[in-house]
Amino acid sequence: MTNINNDLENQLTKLREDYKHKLPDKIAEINKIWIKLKKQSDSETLGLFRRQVHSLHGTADTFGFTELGKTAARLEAIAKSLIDNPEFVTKSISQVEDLLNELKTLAAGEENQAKIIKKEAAAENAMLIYLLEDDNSWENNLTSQMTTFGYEIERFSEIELFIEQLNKKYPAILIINIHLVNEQLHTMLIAKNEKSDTKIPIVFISTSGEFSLRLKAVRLGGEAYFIKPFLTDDLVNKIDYLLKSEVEPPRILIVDDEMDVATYNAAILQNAKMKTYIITKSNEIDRALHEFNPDLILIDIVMPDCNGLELAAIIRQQSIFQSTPIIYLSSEDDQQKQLDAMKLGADDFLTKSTQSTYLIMTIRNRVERYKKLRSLMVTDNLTGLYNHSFMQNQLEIELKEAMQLHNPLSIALIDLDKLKSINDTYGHQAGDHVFRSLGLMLHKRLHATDIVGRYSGEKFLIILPNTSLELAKSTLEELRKHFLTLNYSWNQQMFNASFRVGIASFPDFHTTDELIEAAEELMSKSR
Amino acid sequence: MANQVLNQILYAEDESDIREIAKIALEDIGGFKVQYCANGKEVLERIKNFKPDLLLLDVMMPGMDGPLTMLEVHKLPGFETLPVVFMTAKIQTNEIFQYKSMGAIEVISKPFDPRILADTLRGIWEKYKATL
Repeated sequence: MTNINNDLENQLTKLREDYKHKLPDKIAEINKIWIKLKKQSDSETLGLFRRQVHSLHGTADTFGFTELGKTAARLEAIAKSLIDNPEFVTKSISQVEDLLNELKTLAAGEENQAKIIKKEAAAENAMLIYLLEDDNSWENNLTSQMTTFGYEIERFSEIELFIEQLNKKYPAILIINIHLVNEQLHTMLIAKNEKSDTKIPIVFISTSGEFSLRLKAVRLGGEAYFIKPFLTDDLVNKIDYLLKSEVEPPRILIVDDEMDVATYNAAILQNAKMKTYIITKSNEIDRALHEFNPDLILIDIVMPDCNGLELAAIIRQQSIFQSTPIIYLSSEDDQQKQLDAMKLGADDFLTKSTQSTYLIMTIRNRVERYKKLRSLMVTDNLTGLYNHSFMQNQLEIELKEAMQLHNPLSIALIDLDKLKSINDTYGHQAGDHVFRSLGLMLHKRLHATDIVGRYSGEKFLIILPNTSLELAKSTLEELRKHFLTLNYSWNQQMFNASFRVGIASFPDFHTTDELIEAAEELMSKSR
Repeated sequence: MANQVLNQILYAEDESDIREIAKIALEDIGGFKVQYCANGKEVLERIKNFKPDLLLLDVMMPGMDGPLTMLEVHKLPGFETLPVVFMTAKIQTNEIFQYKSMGAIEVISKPFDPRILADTLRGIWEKYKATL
């Protein structure tokens, strides 16, 4: 196996080397077309120019020349806009030639040591957690919970071994007892935090909430701070949240009547690992909001059909988008106008000349805060899962999408059996614990695209997008069997729990009400 | 479509460098039987004799682009429902919606990782088969 891999690796490296040698010629060819374009900007030459830049963009990315690919992407955005506006060729000369020069430098550069994109390292350790803790009294509890949810925990009680392992293999997250951090680990964590590609989320645990310790945790890049004794459920939730926010890229809706400006901004944001969706007409806003469900909206303030200010007011009229951050992008320097914009519900104001790094940071910060806030608003206090109104809303969004794309969609309603008797026998705390753990198990064991929430009283609702009835049935049956094997203990007594389930699917049912009704009926029948 | 396993792929990509990488990804790693075209016109010429299980198309090609090629292929008798997968460097969500509503079963974003391309295609194939 290793040999085959090595062989492929060699082939890929060779292809990459070959490509690298061809790069200067490819760029020279683009340059030649550009020179011709400056003399006569006919549509044929413009089309050729764009196509060549596009293919440079695509191939550079494929062969792992990321920087060069990014520069080519910027040039492509300009090339694309020139096709619609050939009269801008003369205006764009300095911009285009700067980018062409940058491409030449990058192609010749020795520093270009990018490797063909490797993804396997991250995937391999995505569920691995390192724990640095010398007190083992609570570890068993944590380990058993975390492994149920698919995580793998390695505990270190000695800091030397911990550091050694950290140098060898990267986990997805670190849990560290702050009292054990020595100078060497301190330096190491600070160094790792400085670079975004080595940064690992850290959760600190401590026996005290003393300010100086908390400050130390912040300076070491800690994402959370737990004071003993704490509930392991809370820790599991936090870890889950941290790992999830790592993988879900921010979704940015761009509203701009000029397609080229929008594409340019989209390219910048995509390079910063964000997802974008562009609309050029304000009347497309409703569809975009519901289809794309953005985390942030970037609006051009001056648009022909309806200005950005009015558009923000329209967005704010809909309760589910009341807190979605809105940022204006404009050439407007007038402070009074900016103030007016803020009054109508904008959160921030950036001028079009803003540096791209500033744009990215502003957007990223806003989105992060919004996501945190939203996770507080839409989640249920007991389970930490989505609450009833969020689920109701989400089901509508998912059903609409399924209908549009002609995909199947299934929902499952789940009811914990004998919750009342668990409550009566072991107390409500035991009942809550079982209920919470069922929710967590569902959440952890289902796909990331499946949505789990608390529906009512003792019921959970699961939305399974793009899942047929048959697939949903077999998935839920597997979960049901797994749940039966979990042992709960309360006051030294062991017991098991079980649940009932009802499943309904689109296209068998066409509205959210019909789906829920059908699932509810099947669930009670399975009694 | 009698056969359940993905075996034959017709692949169109105008960039010869990318075709080389895809060759490793699809044949050496994936074990597929693949024929390569440099543009949409070639696809229309080759498809009748090769009879692929799946058509893999780059979106932006000179002359006839990916979407247009798909529309033309779907007009040919016997190929009306041939599954098509697009590859594109543009990862605008609305464009993915658009391509899917035109009839593509999936859109793969470029650059692709040659190590997992074959697995990605098999995953798409299975999902597609499950919906039939």
